[in-house]
Amino acid sequence: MSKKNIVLKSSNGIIFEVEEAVALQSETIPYMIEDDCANDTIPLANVTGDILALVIEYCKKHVVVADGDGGGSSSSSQEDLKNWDAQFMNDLDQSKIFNLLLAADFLNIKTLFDLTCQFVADTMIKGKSVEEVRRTLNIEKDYTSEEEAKARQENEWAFK
Amino acid sequence: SQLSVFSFSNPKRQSLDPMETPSSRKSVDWISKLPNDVLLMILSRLSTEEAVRTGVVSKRWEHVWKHMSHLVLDMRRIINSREMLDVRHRVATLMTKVINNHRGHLESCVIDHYPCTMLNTWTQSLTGVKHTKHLILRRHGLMNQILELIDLPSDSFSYPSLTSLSLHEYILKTSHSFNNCQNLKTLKLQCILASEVGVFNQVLASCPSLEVLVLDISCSKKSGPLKIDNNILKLLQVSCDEIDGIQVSSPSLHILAIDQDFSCGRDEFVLTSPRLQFYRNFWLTGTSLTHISYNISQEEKNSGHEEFLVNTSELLSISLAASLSRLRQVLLLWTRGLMVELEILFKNNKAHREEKDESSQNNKEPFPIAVFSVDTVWMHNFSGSDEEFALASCLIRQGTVVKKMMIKTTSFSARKKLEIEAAVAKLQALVTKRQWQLTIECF
Repeated sequence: MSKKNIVLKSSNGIIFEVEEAVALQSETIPYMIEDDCANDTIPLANVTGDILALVIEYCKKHVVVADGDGGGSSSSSQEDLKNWDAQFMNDLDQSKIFNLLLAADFLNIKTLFDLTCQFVADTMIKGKSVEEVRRTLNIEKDYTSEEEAKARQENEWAFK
Repeated sequence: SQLSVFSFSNPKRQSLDPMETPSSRKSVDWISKLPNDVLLMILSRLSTEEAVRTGVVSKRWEHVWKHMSHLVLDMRRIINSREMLDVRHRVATLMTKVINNHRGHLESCVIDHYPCTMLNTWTQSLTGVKHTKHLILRRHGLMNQILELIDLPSDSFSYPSLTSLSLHEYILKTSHSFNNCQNLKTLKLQCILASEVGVFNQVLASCPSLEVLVLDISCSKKSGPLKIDNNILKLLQVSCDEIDGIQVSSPSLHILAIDQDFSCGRDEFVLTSPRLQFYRNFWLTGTSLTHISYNISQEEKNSGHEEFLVNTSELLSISLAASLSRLRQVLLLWTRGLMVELEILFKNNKAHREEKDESSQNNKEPFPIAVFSVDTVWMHNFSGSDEEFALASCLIRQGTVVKKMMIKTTSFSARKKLEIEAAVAKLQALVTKRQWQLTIECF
């Protein structure tokens, strides 16, 4: 495999140079390369530098070594990767987590998108009451008490 | 998939509030700024009731859950089976309300319920209004409660969007709810009772597009054979009681699973399926073993059927016909359970040789460590080639085969037979002292 590098530019002008295999975990980037072949730098207008750095950190860890079998095997063991993923997510604050989620969606990196969605579901919503969800996610209650009672009534099954 | 559609339909999606200062970060409601499609991906990782509950956190969230594509409604979560009918009915009504509040179409819906009278309402709404593709209806009850009679109107399951239907613990009074089921590709009837086998025969005749059929059925009286005459059927799993034999005539069938408690004798089971030509079968391997016959074709790369195979019962015997490379892939999937017998038919057809160039490299690599073990391995069409020898020797060296490896030689010419016997002698030499139970023989 050729060691071609790809240059990515964040919305605030920060330049990252990464190996092609790292960048190609994004299914969006190949289209951008095709569209923009005259220019060597791929501008990512809606990903900031700090988030792009996280995306690249993730992609570097998950870069797959092709083994010709179609399946592919990773440079780290599955167990190691899982632990690494958990640590990676745990170290982030909510601002990073939700911007990372949008970046993974925009760049179409399925495994990172899934990881982030799962982390949000598991740690911020699962097993929590409505009040706890609001508190955890800083969601302002804009229902009046009557409206909320009505909304609960409407889907009573879920509150039993 | 869905994800890419989302991304490209909205390529100019901006990052969340870039002007936010670090000091105010802590109390910012980031999640509510996400677009609905992303919120839905988060909700899809929650249970249905948790997802529905998010509808009351704020107005922003009120309708988000209503666009989820999967619903799982379980009555058992709220009440137990001893509750009286009026309580069950009240809970069933609340479940109906959730279905009615949902907006748009459904990919799948699972309903677990105690005996109640809401089945027809749910079925009508889920098929006719929600265009559900995969529907699972499961009735639960105490052992001594009688099964629930499923008496739905004619053509209940005929909606074009419904491709997969699974019913659990009902009595089928007639087959008319299955009339005109041209679109049904997967049908699972589990713990389903009918007065006579004719009802089931009529159901199967009404579903000409079936590819996957799982039957765990019984009749209240013996009333002739069950006839499975579905031309494009690929996978059949049977476990039947009080049935006067089964006649299967399905030219496309390539997986047949017979469950351990299957009650038909060998001569009551007539299989006309050219692709499943094996020497071992359910009746030969002894009692209480689920048997799977699987002819793996070269062209079929990822049918999802392997998953089915792996998720099946713990104690089993398997007959596999496959080319070497496909065989390696399938055997790698076994990560649990005790396999008692494994029959391998090496396929050396033309398609295999064409493919050989690209895959021969892999075939010479050591066979990856198998996680399962198996008492007896039968091998047919073993040619003694380097690749096949490598597979056999790995099964021995890794301790995968525990008691017996039987290699068929009698169908070959005398010269070829000598060659194979020489290969077998080499295999025998691999057996270590610790494998005192293991014998390797030709037959």
